[in-house]
Amino acid sequence: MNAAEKRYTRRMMITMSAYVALLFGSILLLRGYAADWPIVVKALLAITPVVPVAYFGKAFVIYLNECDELMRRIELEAIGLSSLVVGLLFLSLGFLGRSQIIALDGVTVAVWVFPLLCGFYGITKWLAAKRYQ
Amino acid sequence: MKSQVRNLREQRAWSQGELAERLEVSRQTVNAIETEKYDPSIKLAFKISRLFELPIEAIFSED
Repeated sequence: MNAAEKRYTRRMMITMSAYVALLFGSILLLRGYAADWPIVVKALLAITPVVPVAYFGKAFVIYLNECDELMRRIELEAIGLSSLVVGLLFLSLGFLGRSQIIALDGVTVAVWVFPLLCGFYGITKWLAAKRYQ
Repeated sequence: MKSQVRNLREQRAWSQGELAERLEVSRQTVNAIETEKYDPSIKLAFKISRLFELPIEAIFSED
């Protein structure tokens, strides 16, 4: 692991730990103490976990600028391919929902977009890296 | 693109890791260039050319 990868891994661990802590913290507060709080405060509390994810995105962009050209190509191919797969998946789900073949809950769909992008990115990165081995 | 990088590296008895360090790239990048799975950018090709003290055409050629 080179210096850029080490820095990226450290930043990813910090931001993802913060994400998990804030996610559970906000869920606990929203289900308990925050029941009577103003809607704006509850909304801000609900989207708090997005903040560390945004920092994770920043860490990833920094890593893209620091890594060498082949690594950058692999990362960008992986992001492109995972975006395409997830885009096609949700487009298909949308058409199936619109045709009333399956019942879709919009909130669930929205929540799963980013995790699926990350999951498919893992697979597509492995595939992209394999091409250059 | 045909690459002479492996031959030139082996002539100098460098490992892929050593060459990667000199070029400031990953070992995987050196391996991909040597196995002709990846064509380096102009910038990296110039760096390789300077390191081996050879013109780019002597290191890389079209298939």
